[in-house]
Amino acid sequence: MDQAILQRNRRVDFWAKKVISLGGVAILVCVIGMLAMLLMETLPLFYSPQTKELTSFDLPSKKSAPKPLAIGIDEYLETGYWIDQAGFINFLDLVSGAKTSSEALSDGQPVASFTINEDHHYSILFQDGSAGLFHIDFKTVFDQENNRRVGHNVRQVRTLEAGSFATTPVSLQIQRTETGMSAVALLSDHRIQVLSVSKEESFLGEEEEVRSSNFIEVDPSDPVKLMVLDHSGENLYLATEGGKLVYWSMSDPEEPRLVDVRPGFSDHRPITSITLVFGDDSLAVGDSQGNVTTWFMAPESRDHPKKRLTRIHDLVEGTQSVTELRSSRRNKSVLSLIGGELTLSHMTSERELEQFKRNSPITLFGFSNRGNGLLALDESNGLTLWSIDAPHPEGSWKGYFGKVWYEDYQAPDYVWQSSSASDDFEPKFSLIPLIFGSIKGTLFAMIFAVPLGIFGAIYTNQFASRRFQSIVKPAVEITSAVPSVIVGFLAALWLAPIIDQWLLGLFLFMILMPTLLGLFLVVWARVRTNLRIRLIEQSKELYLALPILLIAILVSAWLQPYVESWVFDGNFKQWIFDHITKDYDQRNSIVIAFALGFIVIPFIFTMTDDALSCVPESMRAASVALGASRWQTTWKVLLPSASPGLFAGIILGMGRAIGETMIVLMATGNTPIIDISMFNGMRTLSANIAVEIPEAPVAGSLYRVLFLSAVILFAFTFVINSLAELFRYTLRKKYAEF
Amino acid sequence: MKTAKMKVAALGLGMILVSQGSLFAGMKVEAGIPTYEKTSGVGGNLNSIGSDTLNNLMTFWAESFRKMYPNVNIQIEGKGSSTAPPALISGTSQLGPMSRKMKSKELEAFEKKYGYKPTKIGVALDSLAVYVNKDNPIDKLDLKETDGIFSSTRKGGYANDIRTWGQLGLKGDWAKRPISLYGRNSASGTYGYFKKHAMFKGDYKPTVKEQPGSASVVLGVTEDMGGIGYSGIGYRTSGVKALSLSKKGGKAYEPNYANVLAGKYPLGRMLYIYVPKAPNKPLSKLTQEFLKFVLSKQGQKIVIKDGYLPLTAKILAQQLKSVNK
Repeated sequence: MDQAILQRNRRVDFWAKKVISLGGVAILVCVIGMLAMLLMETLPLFYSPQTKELTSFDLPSKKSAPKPLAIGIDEYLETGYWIDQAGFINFLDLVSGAKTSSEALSDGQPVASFTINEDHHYSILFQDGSAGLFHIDFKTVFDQENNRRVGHNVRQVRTLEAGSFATTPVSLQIQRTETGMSAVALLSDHRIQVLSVSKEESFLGEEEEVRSSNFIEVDPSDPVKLMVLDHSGENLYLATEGGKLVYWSMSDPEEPRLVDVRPGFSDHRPITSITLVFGDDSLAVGDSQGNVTTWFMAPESRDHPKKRLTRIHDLVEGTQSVTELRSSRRNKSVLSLIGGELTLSHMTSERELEQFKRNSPITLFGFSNRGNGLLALDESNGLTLWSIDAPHPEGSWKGYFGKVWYEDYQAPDYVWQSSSASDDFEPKFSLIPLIFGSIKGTLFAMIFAVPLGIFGAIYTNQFASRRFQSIVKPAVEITSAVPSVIVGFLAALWLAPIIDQWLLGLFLFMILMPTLLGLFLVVWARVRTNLRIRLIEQSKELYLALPILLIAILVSAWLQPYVESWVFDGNFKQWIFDHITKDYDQRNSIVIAFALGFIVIPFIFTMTDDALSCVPESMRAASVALGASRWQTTWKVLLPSASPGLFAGIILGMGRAIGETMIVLMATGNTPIIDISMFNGMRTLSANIAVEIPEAPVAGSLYRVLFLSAVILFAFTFVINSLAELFRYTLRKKYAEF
Repeated sequence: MKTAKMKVAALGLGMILVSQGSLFAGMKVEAGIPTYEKTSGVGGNLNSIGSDTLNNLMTFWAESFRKMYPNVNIQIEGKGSSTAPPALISGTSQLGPMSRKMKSKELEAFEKKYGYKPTKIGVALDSLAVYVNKDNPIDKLDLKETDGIFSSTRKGGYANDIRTWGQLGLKGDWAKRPISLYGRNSASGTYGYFKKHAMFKGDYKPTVKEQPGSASVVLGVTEDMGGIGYSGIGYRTSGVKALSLSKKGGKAYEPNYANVLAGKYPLGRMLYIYVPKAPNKPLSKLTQEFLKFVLSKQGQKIVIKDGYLPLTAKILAQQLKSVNK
């Protein structure tokens, strides 16, 4: 050959090789890059929170000055304040550490007792017997140059004059309600008085103040030590000296109702602090042994559906007595002061997020409303400000893959419910229902697609005529080009109502079709002894089977109403509801099986067909030469050697089904249930990502959890596709022998 | 481009139901509401991303607005209220229609980016309706019962899980018929609003079929005899029936205008458009004119046409004030 041409070919070969390997490497890099990106978005879920000590200085007040009772901090971490024994509130600039202003709460009345209500609200009882609910209101204002300034304003939002209670209260808590307030006071004679004040409009249009006062019965031998009233003013939790927890409902202020009373712990250890977790559903309890637990009303057991206060989460295990508990105003975190050290932990995940300590024990602390800052005062009068960045406190393996007992649920469970319009919502991020949904959808699709795909391919490849083959194979392959959104749309709006209507008929068909076919074969075996009839059989089996199919369909449609009234009391779906599943759905797994199966069949069909074609002709020839029939050749010789190809096809189809999004998104109700029944739907990993990613705030917990589910989906399809590749490789190696 | 995007967002189901809304035929815009006057110098692009409940309404407003200003281009995408804050924050939209108020987390995220909080403008009233199939004999429910039907936590205090229509007092064929639940996807403000007010902040049952748009909820209930679902009143069709609702066992009220204004119907709500408005600075001319148009006689007439409830003159004046501030 011409030397020049040879050289040119070699050059082209060289460059082609380079370009192709570059493409291969690029794909590899892309896949690895994608995985790295997914992991990068996911991993912050498991990082520990970042805290930083911003500043530390001595409280700008003299040793002889009145003792501070509470401290607090605004959400921009710029202004701090403390309220002192003398009844003054003092503001300080946290940047410079200087005291900026000071004002009296109630004309210089000294404070007798004091309750922190969260969100800068304080119920304060003064020494003259009057009381009030005070709110320190931080307001951001913008000046003409758009510089932000945080202004503050102390407001007395509710007032109770002296003598409102039967005797002088020892402590009290006031909550503001829509129409007035509820107050609960622990009196010096150990009784508890509940006061409810509301403004009602009379018929004349005048406002009238309605007061109701009640005493709550207490056990005189076990006086109440601690109390906390929720924000609605309707639920009162008490802890007694003897370590008992008591829950009163005051939804009707005229008649407080005792809901539950129970010993907190079996060893009757004293309870030292209680507070309500954000949302007012769970009660956080600190005891003398340094444990912090949360409780809510839950059924005692399966046999006793009556709800009682139940210990749900164990947050902290300490050694010294719990001094104080405070809850975050943004999520279900609890801050506990134990032995002069602060621990921040999250209720749902039971994760200990961070610890804060100083050289001398911390006595008072204030948590900013956003949960982004913590101000603490220690025994040696030192103030410390920390910034806290804990974006994903609820992130834990147990939360994503384990059973968690969520607030108000009957029992620990796997739940996916990611969002709500309220802030005090406990997000439920269990991936188990989604993984289950993906597997369920795939399983049903495979049950439908595998037999059809494989037997269809065997028939077309081995039995059908050439002409038939040349039409069917491309036709099946073309169906894989139908966009899945169209399949999903049809499945949801056209197929689902049809299946719903002909459900019983479908089952009848599944029984009738094989029966009729079997009968036909028995008859045919007799008839085909006639040689002339046997001649039409070759490659025309399909045309003989088609009428049977048609008859089966018509007969089952005709039979449906009769069978329904004879066997199922005239209503098949009611029968399903009574006997099989309580969750029958029009958008069920049967619809998914057909729709997803439709997408998967071409994969299995093509792979099976190719695998059969790949079996060397010599084997087939040998088999036929030895006198085997077509069926024997296919079943005993071809299929065993083509089986890796079949498996590869099935597994590739599985990979396609598990990642499929549009069909399941549209044709299922996206119900995150764990139920294998074919009569209800599912929510798959992929559909869940598609549904929820647009609403997920970038870098928020939901966003990252969705990425975590993407990683899982990636791992699934990666393993499945690698398996398929492995099977194909074995197949190829096997044929290399021939 | 605009309509194409919208259709994809509603997964093609929305189109069927756009042309209804004469249910409040007798309703009129209140007298004191100003008429919109065309001004000069209005042009450019406006993007709106957010609520699906407000999707049709936004499209109608945009169409009429464009008739006045042909060189204005408005794109509307409505997948759910929760998509509004991220879009406003990233700057991909100038208008954030929402069927609920922003949560404090969303406000904080916005403030982190801009330094100030967004301005919310009420644009229409809606009564979130609970729909059943038109053949269903039930006509009223208590919120406690809706909670028992939809919620797995039943914070409203209903003792048992409600699974059949018989548990709600229906007789005959209906007594044993199972209840089939339809709801919105979690990005929807309607989803959040219903959760907060009709389910007492409880959780949805996992068997609630989450539909991508209000129209498909209504469609689902139309086709499912035992179905029940919730959506804005603007999506009511002849195939469904909107139930009267009562609170705490009181009298049940129909979801009509008078009951919403009087605060008697328990699920009456305001629909909002959020805009990023810097303090002491006016909005961009285009945004401002659009909002003025929405809050005008013409704009509120469109509200009625689409089946929602118009603002009263008093509320409207307040909203206009925050637009022009």
